[in-house]
Amino acid sequence: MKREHQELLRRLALNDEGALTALLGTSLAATGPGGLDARTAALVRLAALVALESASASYQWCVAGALAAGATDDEVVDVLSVLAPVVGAPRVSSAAPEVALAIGCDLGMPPEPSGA
Amino acid sequence: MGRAVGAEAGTRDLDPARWFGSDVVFEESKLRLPPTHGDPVVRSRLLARLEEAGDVPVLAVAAPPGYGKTSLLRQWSARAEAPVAWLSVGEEDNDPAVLLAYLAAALARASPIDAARFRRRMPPGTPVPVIVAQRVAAALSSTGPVVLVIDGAEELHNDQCRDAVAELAFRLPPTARLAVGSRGTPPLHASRLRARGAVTEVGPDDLAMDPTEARALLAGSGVALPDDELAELVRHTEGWPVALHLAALAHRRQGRLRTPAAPFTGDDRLMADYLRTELLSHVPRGRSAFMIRTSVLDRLSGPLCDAVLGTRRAGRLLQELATDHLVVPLDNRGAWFRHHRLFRDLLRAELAQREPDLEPVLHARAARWCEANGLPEAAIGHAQAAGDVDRVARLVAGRALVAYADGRLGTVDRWFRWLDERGALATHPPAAVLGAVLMALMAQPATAERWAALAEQAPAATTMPDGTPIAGWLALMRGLQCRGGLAQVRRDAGLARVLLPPGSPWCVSAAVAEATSWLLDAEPERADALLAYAVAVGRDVGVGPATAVALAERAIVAIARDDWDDAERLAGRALAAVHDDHVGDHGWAALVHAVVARTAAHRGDVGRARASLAEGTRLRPQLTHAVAFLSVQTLLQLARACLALADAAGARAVLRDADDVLRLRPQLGSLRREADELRATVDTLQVGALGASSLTTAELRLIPLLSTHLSFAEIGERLFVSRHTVKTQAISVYRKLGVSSRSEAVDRAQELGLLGR
Repeated sequence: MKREHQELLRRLALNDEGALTALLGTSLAATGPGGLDARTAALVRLAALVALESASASYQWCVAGALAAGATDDEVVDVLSVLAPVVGAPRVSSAAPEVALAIGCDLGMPPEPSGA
Repeated sequence: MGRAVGAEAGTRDLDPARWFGSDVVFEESKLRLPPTHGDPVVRSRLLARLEEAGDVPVLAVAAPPGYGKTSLLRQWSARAEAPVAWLSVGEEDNDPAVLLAYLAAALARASPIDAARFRRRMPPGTPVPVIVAQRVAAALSSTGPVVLVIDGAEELHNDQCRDAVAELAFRLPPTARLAVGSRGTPPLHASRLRARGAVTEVGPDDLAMDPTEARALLAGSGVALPDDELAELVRHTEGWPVALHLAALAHRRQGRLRTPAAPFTGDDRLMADYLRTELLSHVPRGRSAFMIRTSVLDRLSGPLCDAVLGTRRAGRLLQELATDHLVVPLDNRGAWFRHHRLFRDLLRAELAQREPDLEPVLHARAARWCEANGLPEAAIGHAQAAGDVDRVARLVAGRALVAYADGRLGTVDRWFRWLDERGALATHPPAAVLGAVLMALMAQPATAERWAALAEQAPAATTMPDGTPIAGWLALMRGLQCRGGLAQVRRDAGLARVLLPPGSPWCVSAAVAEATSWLLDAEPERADALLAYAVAVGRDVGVGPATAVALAERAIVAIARDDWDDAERLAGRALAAVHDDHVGDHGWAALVHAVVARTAAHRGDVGRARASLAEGTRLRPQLTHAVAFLSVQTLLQLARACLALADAAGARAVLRDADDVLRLRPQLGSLRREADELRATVDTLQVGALGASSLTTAELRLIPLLSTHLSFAEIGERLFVSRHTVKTQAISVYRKLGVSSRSEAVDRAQELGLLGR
């Protein structure tokens, strides 16, 4: 494999904002024109990631962004609670350990991802 | 806070006796090549093979006792065209600070090295193995070619010490070579070294003697055998050199060869049998009993042996044994000796079998003698072996502060945990209170709290080993703990300042704590006066850490009155104090870095401010609720430094840490308000990209381990988390550092100052 392919794939796997922005042509953490603040936008993004059963790196990226934008741990956990009836318990429970880790709480029950 | 290395801190030379407190026994003989007996067999075959292998940086020699590991290392290193630094590891080296001191002393004997870089203290929470390896590697690259031999590495059982040696093997400069001799698995990542072709491994099969070597060995003892008998002996012993040697001794005495009944390759028990039947039985009874019973001693002197055995002329006997090469002299005055290592193990096994009840008695006598003769740390070791918990508690209480001041934190930790495991801290309040204070300063809040609770049970009349009342120490402990808010810190620290022995460096720590509580309660003038006093006294009694904190606090006072010039001057002095006392890796040094960052940012020196902020960020994992008011104050100062650099994400990460401490210590009134105000300020800022300052404490703890050669799974074991957790956090670290691999992350962290300088 070409070296630059390797580097790109690695950066995509890390949920690297620069690489993803270049790929998508728009900032990954863009806020909308309607004035949704950075904190709320990050929480909405987190909800979407849970619904999609995303990779560990995506959760870490998203939650770190939410916390940096001023979201509290409680708010992050709330996202899971309000999502459960909509996306179903399995998605929420698979996201829970990852989200916990992202807010600095190691539940000690890793969902060992395939190919880790 | 706490005591610095003491008044001797200014000593920059590498005289090992002065490395630690002057009364710590520094075993010079560990740095000398062990003596040879007679004319050792030259292992030409093996040496030629090693030579053929070329310039492989690491040599690992691992085999059971008696295979001639040390002889081989000696012969191999003598052939290298470079000075040899030799260290025979001992039990005391299971403290990274002690191991580092001995390695430094060994290197200094081979080649001049810069001592200053070795002296920086290594508090818990810092990547101790990496620091040790870095410092030794740096010294090696400054010396020109050197061969470093670490023999007896099986004595290293401390994980940090083993990791340090393993890490060093990867960091050797091209001019250096490392050889490690060990009875068990050497402390090296052998498979990873092998994959790089960086290690030559020598095992028992390589060390076994062939008939030619066996003949030479026997000839050295004046024994010549016909070819068939020799072949039979070699076959029977499988070439195990010590067995050949013992066979030769037996032959010389009895004029005939007695091969043991069974082959006894490397089996200690069978060898002990052989020792008993073939050697001890031919030594006069008095002598053999003397040797067996003194095997409990690390070092032997006439008076010590007399005290332990109840004899009167041990001194002369030791001289005689030395003449017969049965013990090794440690000095030129004929005062101190030690047993041969291999021999001592056998003698101890013999003692355990013959007189099992005597062992604790002998240790108890040794403890008494060592205590009475100014060897408190040897006394602790013997009292532990004797199971004399009371004596250990008393001695540790009298010695802990010295070891702490030396930076021998691993030793301090080991002593207290030994007492804790035996439930002895509950019945020995002086030890408990010192343990609680030292654990708080070593950022181990849970342990500190548990021991503090035990110390609180002390009867009022309890006195410390120096005869002062325990009340002063209890007050200092409560002041640092600050369970009751700032007013309580002030009250207790003030009390400690009065009750602790005048002139004690700990009075300075108490004064700084008291002054800080004034400052945090909006009484800057009172705080400043007391801080100025602490700085003046601190300089006199040589307490760098407390002085540095006091200067940083004064800088904060100056900022509060908008006198930035004064603040910058004070911050500069605080930083100099941190560097002068080699205490830059302590958590509270973060306060100094925070004020340096703030003053630099105010002057518009963004580069300097960022660098100082990174230094402070690196120390964040140590800012726990162990000394809550200082931790929160430091975190808030770091948050202000982030704000001055318009780093909202960094400020929020720091404020999160502060919240964690405040949750456990909610009564820090003004600090909580200040945290809330800062959070409101951060909310007005736009969050930019997440950079290094937004690393969480878990991620910061991981970074130094990323710089090692440990796998994610191994890192997980050391941090007590799963491999998945390590991997997830590593990915987060890469993203925040803007890199895509572990090696890039390490380079970037180094550039930013997150790995220390």
